[in-house]
Amino acid sequence: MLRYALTRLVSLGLTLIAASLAIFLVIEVIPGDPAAFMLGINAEPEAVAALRAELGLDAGLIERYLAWAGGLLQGDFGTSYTYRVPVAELILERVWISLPLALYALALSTLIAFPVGIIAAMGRGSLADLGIMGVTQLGIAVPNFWFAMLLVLFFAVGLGWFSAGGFPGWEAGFYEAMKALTLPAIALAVPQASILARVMRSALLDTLDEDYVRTARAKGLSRGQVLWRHALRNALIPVLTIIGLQFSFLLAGAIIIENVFFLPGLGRLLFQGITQRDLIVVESTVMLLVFAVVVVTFLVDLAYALVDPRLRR
Amino acid sequence: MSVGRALRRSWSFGIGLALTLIFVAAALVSLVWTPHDVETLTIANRLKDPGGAFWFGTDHFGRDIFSMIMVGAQPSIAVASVAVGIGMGLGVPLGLWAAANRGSMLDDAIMRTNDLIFAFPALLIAILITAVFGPGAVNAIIAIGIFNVPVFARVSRGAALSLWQREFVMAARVSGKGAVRISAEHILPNITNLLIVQGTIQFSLGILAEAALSYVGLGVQPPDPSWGRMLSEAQTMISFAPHMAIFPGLAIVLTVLGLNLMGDGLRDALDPRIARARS
Amino acid sequence: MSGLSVSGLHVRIGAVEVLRDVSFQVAPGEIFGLIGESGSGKSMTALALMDLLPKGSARTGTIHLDGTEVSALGERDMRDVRGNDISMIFQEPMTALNPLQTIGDQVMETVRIHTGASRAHARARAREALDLAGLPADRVPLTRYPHELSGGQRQRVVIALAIALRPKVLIADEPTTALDVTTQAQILELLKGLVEEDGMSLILITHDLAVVAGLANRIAIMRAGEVVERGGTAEVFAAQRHAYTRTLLAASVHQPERHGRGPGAPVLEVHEAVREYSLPRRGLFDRPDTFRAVKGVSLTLHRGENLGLVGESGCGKSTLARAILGLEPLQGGQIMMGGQEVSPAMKPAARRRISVVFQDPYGSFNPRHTVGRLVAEPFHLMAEKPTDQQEQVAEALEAVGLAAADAGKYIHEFSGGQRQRIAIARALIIRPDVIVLDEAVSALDVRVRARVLDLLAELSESHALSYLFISHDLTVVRAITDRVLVMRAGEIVE
Repeated sequence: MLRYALTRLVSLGLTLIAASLAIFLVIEVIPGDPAAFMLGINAEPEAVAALRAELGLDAGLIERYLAWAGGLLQGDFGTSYTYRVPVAELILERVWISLPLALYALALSTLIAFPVGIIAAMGRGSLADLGIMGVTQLGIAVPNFWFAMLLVLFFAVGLGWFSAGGFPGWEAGFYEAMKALTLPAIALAVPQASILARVMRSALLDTLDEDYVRTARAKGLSRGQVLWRHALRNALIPVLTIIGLQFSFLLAGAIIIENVFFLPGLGRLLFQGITQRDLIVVESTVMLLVFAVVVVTFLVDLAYALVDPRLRR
Repeated sequence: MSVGRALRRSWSFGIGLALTLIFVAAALVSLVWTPHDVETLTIANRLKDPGGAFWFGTDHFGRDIFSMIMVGAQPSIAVASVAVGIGMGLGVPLGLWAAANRGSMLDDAIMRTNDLIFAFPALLIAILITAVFGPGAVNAIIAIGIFNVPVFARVSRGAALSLWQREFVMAARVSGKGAVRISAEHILPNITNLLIVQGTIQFSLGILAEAALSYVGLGVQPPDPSWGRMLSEAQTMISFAPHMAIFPGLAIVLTVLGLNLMGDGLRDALDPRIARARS
Repeated sequence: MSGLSVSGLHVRIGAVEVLRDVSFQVAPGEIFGLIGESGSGKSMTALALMDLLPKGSARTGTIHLDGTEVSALGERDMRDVRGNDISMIFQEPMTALNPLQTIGDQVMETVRIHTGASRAHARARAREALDLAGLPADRVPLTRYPHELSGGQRQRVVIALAIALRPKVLIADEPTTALDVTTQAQILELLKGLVEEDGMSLILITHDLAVVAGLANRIAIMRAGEVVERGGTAEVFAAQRHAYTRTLLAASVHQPERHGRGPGAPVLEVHEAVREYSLPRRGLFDRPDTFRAVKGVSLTLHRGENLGLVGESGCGKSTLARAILGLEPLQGGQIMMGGQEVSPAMKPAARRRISVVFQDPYGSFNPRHTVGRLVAEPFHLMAEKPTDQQEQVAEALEAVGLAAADAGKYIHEFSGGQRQRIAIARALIIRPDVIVLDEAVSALDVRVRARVLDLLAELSESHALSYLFISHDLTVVRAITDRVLVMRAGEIVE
């Protein structure tokens, strides 16, 4: 098990290095001169030169990359050109909104999808199953930001149960903060739950066709017992894969949905950075998001080994 | 039962095809005609409710929403289809090549690159690319296409790998055929079904992705209408003019739903296990 | 009344009648053989006894076990019977166990479900059952996972969980078909021993007459859902009242006629062939292990001679076959054919001399090509493609007993036996010297097998072919070859 974990850890490290290289190249190399890009075409040459000096752009590519990567490892994310504050500060404020939102949505998605998928699989072909398939088919097709708008219209404007947007900050108390994140989390979770429920259903149905299920029935287990004791754990393997992928989608979705709810999260930071051409902010925010995704993938890999003893040798 | 008959009997495929064709038709028709002109801004008509001359109402500039939805279908379908084309055109050969050279450095390299791209949340790549290279339809196509390449590469590699183990491929190797020939004559025809189904899935994902990009302003730029941007414009007015948000959203939902239903119908009709059970 | 009594069993699935008026008795302590080819309904009978028929099935008729009418029980009561009074084991040991649970847990489950025993008690009984099944505690502890055991061991675990509660009847559906010869014998011995010790009845379902001949007290022969003959084993085999029984028996002992011609010059020589391949790396920093599948094998095949190669699955015979076909490289030794070296880099001119017929009649062909195109594929090896390809294809199809018009059809339109004939036609078409037949008849029913063997024998004489016949089934190999080599763990042992 330890050896497996170490292998995955090394893999994680390599992916992060490769990703950072890719980000570095896309942002600092491909557009040409980053300083000129940031200041725009009308900038004066002296301003550009000054910025180049400030950012250390005259150094060689490898040096610049190592400086940036090294800085990241130490927690130095550079200084935002627009705000003149360390990017790390900006990110730290925002990450406590985006990350919990993505995790909240992941939890909701899993909590909804598991029972729904199981019910559909157990009652295969029944009215409940058909109904679930129909609803999930619709759920997959819904853009989460549109769904968010409808939720706001109905629950905030219409019923007044939630505010239409904004975030009171964690200082206002756990309950208040989570309440503000609830509509966004639901908007994110519903399409993902639809996908996950279908995956769960199909994984269970596949498992129910396996030979060991036949053996279990011949032992005298009921259909329900077979599902809980044998099928479910085996079906978890493909389901775990999807959950890992979902976190990545949810993080990306969170970025967009912050727009609907005026949440001051990483999404807002990223888009502002893009509009203001603040490459340093963009670079570091993207790197952080990738880091989060890679870490979650690693955790999912570990979870595989917990579920499947064949991986542990 | 032949595939054709199976498709005709599948109500999922039928409904899906109908929905998809409606929007494709809307896009094509809108190239020459729309009920109202989408380019003129008539303040006098602003924010009219659905009904009467304006079937879906008007937006804050007085533009007919129905017409805008028709025209908005163009970038959605165009971007999604070209992106799928890129994904298939590059991804499938890469996947087949990797499978034919399984275990080699080439295979490893292709798989690692795939994994790298998957490490980025899909939309993030699109955002990054459109941010650095500028917003617009072309960059959106490239961005979404880039994410499609590893999807098709992975799918075709996986299917090809299991086909390489099959005895008819071994028989072809005994007959002296090389990897390229075998990939073309034996492997590719047997994965087309899988690719068609995956293609419809990626197409529907492409539509959602284009909508999201346009929503945040990185997709098709004004004045060209796009469903995503219509939604972002509708946002501030949602409490008193909900029709501005509801209809474009429904257009997205129905198009994606149509494609998914088509994909499901195709998958069931093409699945050999189900086919054998039918006959 | 004791024992199992089945009377007038009818099963219908949807609109199809799969079992018709099936009746038989099995006394306590008796071994009852249920014989038939695939599609005869023997497995359906077993599922009907356990009430595990697929959805949409309708069953009528009565089943009595020791006086209780089992067929009248509802699902809940039937669950009490399954695994407790009547148990069943199936054909595929490799997939019969849950890969995520230890074998101990899986055997204990049978005990705990039916008796509500404590974990400790259940564990003890599970250990007992595994010991009885021939898996001693020091070698196979309860904490093992299925993937850590071989096929034979897994089948023993399945037997253990089936007999843990000492059922009155054990139904064994093709329990040894997927196992190699030695393990087969062991498992059958085990089953026989359990019957003798406990007075359990055993219903042994198989298509293999040899298995049943040595073991069963009484048998019933099934065909197309009906019992066509039943009685004491020796009596049925001797009297052969029903026509079907006669054909079945004849086919299983069938030996094709062969007129030997003295062996000629060697056409294929293998010297000390070694084939290794590396296993997937276990960790990023490990050097990959190598597995030596073939360890210095030598053999010679002469013109006009048929050579058999027998061994259990995993002994390396298929790997050797692939090397001989030039599909895999050797890491040591040499293979020569007609004076030229065999390797993956062989020139087409050299490849022409050898062709192959594989085991799986369903997987041997690209489902999207016509038969004509499939049979003509080896023409790729000829430098100048013949102008009369169509005629040659027609000739080849007729030589194997099919029609020239079949060239335009697709492979799914043919049965298993016919597909193997097409495979033989494809192997013949460029007049090779050697044909490698890798388990070529293993997947076929007894009667079809007999006919295909006849065809092969005839062709080997008319076309001056030499066969390398690979199989795990010694009886089949003996029927068609002149010499037999036995392979085990990568080496020739006899």
